[in-house]
Amino acid sequence: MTGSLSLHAQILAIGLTLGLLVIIFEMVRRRRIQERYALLWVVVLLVLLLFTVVPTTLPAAAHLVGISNTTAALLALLSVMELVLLVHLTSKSSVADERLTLVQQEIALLRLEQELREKAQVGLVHTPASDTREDDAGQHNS
Amino acid sequence: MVTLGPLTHRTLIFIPAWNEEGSIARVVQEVRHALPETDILVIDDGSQDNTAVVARAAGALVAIHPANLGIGPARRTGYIFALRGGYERIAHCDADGQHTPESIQRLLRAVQDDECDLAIGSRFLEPPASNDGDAYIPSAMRSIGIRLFRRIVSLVTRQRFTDCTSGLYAANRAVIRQFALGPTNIDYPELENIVRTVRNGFRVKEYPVTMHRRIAGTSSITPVKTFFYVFNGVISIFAASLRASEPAPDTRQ
Repeated sequence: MTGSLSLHAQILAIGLTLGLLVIIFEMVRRRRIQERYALLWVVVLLVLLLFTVVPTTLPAAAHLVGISNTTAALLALLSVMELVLLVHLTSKSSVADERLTLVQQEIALLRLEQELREKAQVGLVHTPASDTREDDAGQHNS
Repeated sequence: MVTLGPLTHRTLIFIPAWNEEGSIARVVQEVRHALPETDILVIDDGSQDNTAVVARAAGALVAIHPANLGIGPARRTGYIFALRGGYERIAHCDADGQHTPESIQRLLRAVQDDECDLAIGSRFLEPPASNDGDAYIPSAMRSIGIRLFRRIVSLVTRQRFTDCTSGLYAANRAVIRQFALGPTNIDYPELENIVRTVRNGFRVKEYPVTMHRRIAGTSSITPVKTFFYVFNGVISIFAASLRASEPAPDTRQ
């Protein structure tokens, strides 16, 4: 029967999936993965666990989407999952990049502001603290 | 939010610079000489050379990014500084000395006279009156990209643009606010910025300017980057044209 597993292969697959689940949980516990990102992995692994514990579910799922070859269905599924994870990671990386950029811009501006304040104290530049701008406020106001 | 209050003048000219120690002093001095009634800010975008020191010695304010963030974020730092500093208008130019102070003056005057909200210096709007051999001539590869972008941006905005990759802008406070508060394309922000500004209902106008070859150093744009530019550019234009227009910038906090 297509999709059936030898007991050996089944135990190996279950062991591997459970092992990965344990690793994910352990990484969450050690704060190496944040909970929200772990969720995606846990879902993926639980689906794989279902296929290994109840081997008939995989051919059934394959049949449902119209793929007759179970092996092909499994590979297709894994490819899609990997793609989803990669897109997810690229997206997270882009968001993190933008945040890091904003933080660095803020650091640059704070350092400049600090420098301007120090200069203002020794009278090198005019800031609102040292100059109320009454003299030229009228002619420049729009 | 940090507020700086207006510093010494109402107009800010900012110049993003990345490893431009060879040209930045002359650029700052030329701008200072031609436009004494302005504050000048150099944004050192994580340079490994002495750009910041040289720029400060030339009399500019300097904001230093801890790492190289890209031209988009570097300009945004200028816009944020302008917004918080209460400046009424800005101009920005490149650090390599390709833009002339006269061009900056021309754009600032256009914004000050309320001819437009954003003035863009175009290399291609009119042929330069006197071509002294020092004028800007793009490479073959680049001129293909330039023409392509001209078509697409003009199509998307329904307005004729000739120079969609210009680094020479002048803008009023409403546009300063738009650029300071929004996200930015990291590597090639110019195309997206034009589309975004037009879509937000601002008046964008091009003005002819003359450009020189760079004073020193090498351009950060290589053929490989040009290819990436085209790819990145096309995506960013269409993404920008499909985004909802932002809330009217002058009513936003």
